[in-house]
Amino acid sequence: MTVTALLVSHDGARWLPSVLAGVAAQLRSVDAFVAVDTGSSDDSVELVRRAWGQECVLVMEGATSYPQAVRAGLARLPPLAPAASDDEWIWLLHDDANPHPEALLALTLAIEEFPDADILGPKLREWPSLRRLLEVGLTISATGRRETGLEGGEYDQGQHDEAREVLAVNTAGMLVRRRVLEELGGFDDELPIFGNDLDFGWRAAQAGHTTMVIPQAVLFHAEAAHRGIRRTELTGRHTAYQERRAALFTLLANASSGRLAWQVIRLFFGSLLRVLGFLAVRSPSEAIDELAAMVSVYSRPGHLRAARAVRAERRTAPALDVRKLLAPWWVPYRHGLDFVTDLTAAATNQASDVAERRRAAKLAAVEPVSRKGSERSSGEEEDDLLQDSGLVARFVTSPVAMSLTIFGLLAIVAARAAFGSITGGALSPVPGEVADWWRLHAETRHPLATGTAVPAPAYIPVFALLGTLFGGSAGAVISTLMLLAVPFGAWGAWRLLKVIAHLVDSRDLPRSVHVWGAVTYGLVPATSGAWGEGRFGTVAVAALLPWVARAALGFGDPEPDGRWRAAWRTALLVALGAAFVPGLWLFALLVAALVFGAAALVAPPLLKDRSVWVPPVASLAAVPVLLAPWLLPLVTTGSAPGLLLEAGRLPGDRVDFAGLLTGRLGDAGAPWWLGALLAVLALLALVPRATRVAVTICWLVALAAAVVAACLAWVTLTLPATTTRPSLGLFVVILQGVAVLASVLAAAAFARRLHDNPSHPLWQRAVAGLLVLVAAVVPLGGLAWWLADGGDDLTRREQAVVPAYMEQSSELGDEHGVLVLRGSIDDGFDYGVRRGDGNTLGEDEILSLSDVDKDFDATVRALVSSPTSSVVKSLGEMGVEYVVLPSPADATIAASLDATSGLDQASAEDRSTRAWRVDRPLVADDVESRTSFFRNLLLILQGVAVVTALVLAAPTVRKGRDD
Amino acid sequence: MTDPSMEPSTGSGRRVTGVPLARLGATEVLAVLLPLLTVAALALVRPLDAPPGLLAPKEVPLERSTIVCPGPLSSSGALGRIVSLASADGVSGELAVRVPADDVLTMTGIARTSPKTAYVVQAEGDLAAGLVGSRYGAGAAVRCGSPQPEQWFTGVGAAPEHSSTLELVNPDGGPAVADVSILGPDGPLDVAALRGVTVPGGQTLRFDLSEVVPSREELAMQVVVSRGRLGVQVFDQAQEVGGARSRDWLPAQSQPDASAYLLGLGGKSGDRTLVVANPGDSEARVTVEVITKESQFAPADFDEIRVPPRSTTTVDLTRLLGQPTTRGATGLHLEATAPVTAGLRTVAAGDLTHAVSGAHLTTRATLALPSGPARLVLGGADGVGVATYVVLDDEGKELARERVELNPGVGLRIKLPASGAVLDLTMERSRVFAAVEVGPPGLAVLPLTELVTEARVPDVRPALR
Repeated sequence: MTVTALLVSHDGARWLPSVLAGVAAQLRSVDAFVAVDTGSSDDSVELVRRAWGQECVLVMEGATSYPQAVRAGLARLPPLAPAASDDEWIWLLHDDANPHPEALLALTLAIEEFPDADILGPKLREWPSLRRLLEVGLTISATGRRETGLEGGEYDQGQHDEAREVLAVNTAGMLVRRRVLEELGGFDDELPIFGNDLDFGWRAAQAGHTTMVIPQAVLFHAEAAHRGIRRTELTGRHTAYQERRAALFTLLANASSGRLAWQVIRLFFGSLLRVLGFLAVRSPSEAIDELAAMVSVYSRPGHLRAARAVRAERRTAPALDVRKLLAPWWVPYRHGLDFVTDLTAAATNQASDVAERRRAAKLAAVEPVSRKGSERSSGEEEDDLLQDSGLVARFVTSPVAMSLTIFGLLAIVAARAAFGSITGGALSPVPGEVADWWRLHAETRHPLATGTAVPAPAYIPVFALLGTLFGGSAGAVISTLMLLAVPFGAWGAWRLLKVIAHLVDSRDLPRSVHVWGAVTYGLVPATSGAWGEGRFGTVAVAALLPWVARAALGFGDPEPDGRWRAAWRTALLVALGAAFVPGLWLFALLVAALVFGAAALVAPPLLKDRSVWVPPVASLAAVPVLLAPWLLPLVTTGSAPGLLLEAGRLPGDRVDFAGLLTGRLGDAGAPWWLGALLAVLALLALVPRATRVAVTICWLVALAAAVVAACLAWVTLTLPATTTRPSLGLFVVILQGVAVLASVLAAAAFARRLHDNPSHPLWQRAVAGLLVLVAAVVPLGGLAWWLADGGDDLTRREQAVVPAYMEQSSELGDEHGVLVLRGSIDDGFDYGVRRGDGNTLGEDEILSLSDVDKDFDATVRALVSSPTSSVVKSLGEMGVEYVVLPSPADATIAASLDATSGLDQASAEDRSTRAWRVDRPLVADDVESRTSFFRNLLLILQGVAVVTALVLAAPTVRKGRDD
Repeated sequence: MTDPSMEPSTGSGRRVTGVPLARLGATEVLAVLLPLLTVAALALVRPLDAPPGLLAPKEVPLERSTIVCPGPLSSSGALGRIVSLASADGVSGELAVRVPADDVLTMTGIARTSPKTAYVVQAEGDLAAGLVGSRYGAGAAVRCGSPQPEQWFTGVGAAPEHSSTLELVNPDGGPAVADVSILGPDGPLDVAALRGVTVPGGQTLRFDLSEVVPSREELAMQVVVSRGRLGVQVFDQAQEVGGARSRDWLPAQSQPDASAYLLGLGGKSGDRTLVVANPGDSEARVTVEVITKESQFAPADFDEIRVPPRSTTTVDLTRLLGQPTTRGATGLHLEATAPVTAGLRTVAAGDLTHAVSGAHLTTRATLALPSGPARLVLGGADGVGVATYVVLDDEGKELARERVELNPGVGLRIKLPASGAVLDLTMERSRVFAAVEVGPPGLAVLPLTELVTEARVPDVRPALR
């Protein structure tokens, strides 16, 4: 048996001395040497010549591919002797792969043990670490991923030390029968650098040859080309492109003809999906590589056909034997799941510890080594739930997890009314289909009343998207919002309190205080009465507020990158909140101004750093862009008062002085004294000295909110139908949140004091006990009240005004409007036009801001004063088919309408309701839904802005073999 | 808060850390100031104002008006043969006749015609405000009015000796529906035939109560027009024992009231029957006062009338009004503990008359006078004031004009010129009830109602939801 070492080198002087020494130190010595150098610019050629002799080295030009180099090396050898054809072996070596002294011995011993094997490969370990495993045999997944079957960074502890048959082995250290190598035509020229080993192994398997990995043979591989340490003319800068191209080519060239069509389609769409995925994790260069690789392979079908023809000729082994060597079908899905899990974990944890990262950054400045350790320890502290025991055991033994879960369940029970369809207060019935919401969002002019150009509220696209995800159920969106707002808000408060507590004091909050704070804040939407009044805008913003605050804390991140990501996260969350209560954005602007003002006073140099002040400014400036399809038309249609209102129909909240102090929007909230207790606690929070500064800052925010609320309360918004006051629900929520935060901080300090110093007098302990009792009453009382009260107002059915047959008729088209006139001559008449399925969620805000249609107003005025045939005719021209006077109908008006020609009496469900049909041609020209180029442009802008912000806000995920 | 004794939790800590007890840092000052400022700012928050209500209806000159006159009491005789139409302001113009057939009637101050059926005219523009009309002839007279959604007729009969006929005239093209409910001494009567009566456009329907709801009792009838418009009139027919039959219209009362003035008792004595109906759910106690030129007094030996809920009570006042003390009485005043309707039927010398409470007149009332002798009866003034009456003849020439003082507690009976065609009565400083007695021959009483010259236009606005 003769073994000829075939070394291909290219600028490998960094590694070659060790490699050559390694070859020389082989216990089983090499019989012959051939080296091929492909245009090295360093002294690689010299090094090899010195070691192996002048005549053994073949120098070729730089563009020579690996397959060409191997073929040239083989050509240098004497022709294969027919007699000893099976005894001649080629040992392929790379200039960055150093064989262990026993490597060749182990490989040659394996030849005796497995005489059928034609290709043998060593176990590859990382160089220079020498301990981590790189490859122990290779296969390829259905998506073209190079599968090693190893975890990233796995240490070699002998766990894979079993010789076994594999699809392929790396060319570095491959011992191959020369006859087989030549019979198979060497490596494929289509694969110049990467992936030719997989293709070769696959071809060999199809031709009935056996490839084995022999882990007793060890080779240390630097993977210089893959890692981009070495650039050649062939790899260029885009190794990812070359690798992906090779993977696609290999899959398509070797796929059986039965599966080819499926593979072509699957890889095409799979690649597109990967492109999107790379874009989503902000890896545009990888996305381009991916796309280029696909285009490169798919644009040259001739090459593929030729390659397939060659393979088809040599195919002798049964397809089943080959398939068992390929990666199982589920492998890509597992990787996908891993990726999503990584992404989610990164997304949820990235903001988690601004406090930790700040501390770590400070520590790192002092002693750089301690950083990693501190991060890891914080990760371990991250959650008690993430310890390494059984899930159920962990859950049952964690009082925090238990109490929070029970709270979440009770909150859902208390909100049980939302399982059905709820409407009432500020909450209108949902439309029949989610498509109505999409249409509302896309329209420039809505077929509501007599047609209006006021834009759909900003939350409509959010609802529409959720509704679409819920399978087209609009009701499910409202149910989900109303059911989960309280648990979601409590979760957000839990996470926010954790970060703030770490900022104030390095220690974790005492668990009971932490749970109290989260639960008390979580209940705010319910106890304030927002839930019971159907004020879903306030409910949503209350659930989002802690998340917004937590994202905004990211501006304190020590790294500029972290601050920028915080900016996009904050922008998205503020935009989402402002979609429900636009005041959130205005208040955020005010807070930003205050913080900058304070910073200018306290630490002026901070504002000189662009990476400090630009992200918050960018984040607040991004909100109008994210909300452009709503905001811009709102201002241009003169409906700017909408900026100070909230989602839901009017009339607005009835917040007053007592309501703001006790956190109540109106009468639908929990008993006021429960809120008063919280206010007292927030006041007492100023007492402990340790947290007084932090609590004072909380009060400063409360003062800002109070001043804004006081100013807004004096503003009168004149809407077409009524006058009202700006919505103050947001300030109730902010004040409650600040009160909870102040109480939690002080309580934590107080509790620690008592705990750290057990020698306190009895009376102090008694005071503490009393405070605990008082504090416990707030969330427990609130929850009990909510469970008992349960939102009766929202389950009451609103009385149908319009007879059922008119409802059906109005759904036939925009011209089949129903004019509803409520009132009497003495009290005046409110008029409304029902079109389609009536006024549904999302349309109230449009209607309340729409200008009065003067022509229509005059027509209605004429109808109730001196109705004539021409008045009736103009009703028809404005798309009104029926006129309804709901019970009790004004008899005088009814009589005069009865006497009007063109109005035919129509039946109603009860006798005291009067109705007429307009017996004139119906036209809906002015009413009809319209959309415009400009609107579409805004929608596209919004879509792009949202996707961009999402991508920029996404955590950075590094992926690949080098993890 | 800054007093050290109020900081139990930090007391020992201070001793440990050795911070001076009395020192006040910026944080302490803020800790006191911020809550105070916050509460002060919140105290400035104004509660939500009630959203502005709609404005009261606007008064605008009447643009269109419809007057419905009933058909004559007898198709052949002279009983209510003539229809007289007049403009309160003497405006001339053309009226559109809708019933019996579309036609045009030219009016120069006054117009008279003698249709054999119900008669409906419509006026537009200047003519619409102040259009009045009457139908009269041979001791019977009735005011023609615009269609009303609700009317009460108290003292209708459904027996051979006293029976009433309900006439429904639809002045419009579309159908109209009336709901008639009848109260008797024992409570409401269920009359299927009168529930939801549909009157086709332009048609007249008559219901003889003695056929529809035969009853010997004195009844009260409420007519509610639930669809469309209807001119509603009742004509009554009474027969004295062994005497002749007499017919006249029974004027309508617009709604029950706790105070009623039944003016126009005529000069002769006769059989007088007072019927009081109580549509409410609780018993009404009614006191009766007699109005004379000198005073208004409660007869000494007359008990209050008790009217059970949802029923009628009939009282014979023949004796009371035949006494010397009540001679010259011009009317009755009824004061009830609950809203009631009332009607006084008089059969004197074979002639039937009804005195029914009119409405409180505030500013102006106009009547197209039937021909023949007539007297204006005033009563129930609610303060000291002045009433001015003007009588015009067919050409619009003023025949009489007088200012009379109005005093509470006394009645007035003023003789009007026999050739008068239009009576115009204006009030100042006091409200008053008024009726016109017409006759001889016979006697007919026409309660006056406020002249409608303006329409009320309700305010409208877009609804909130």
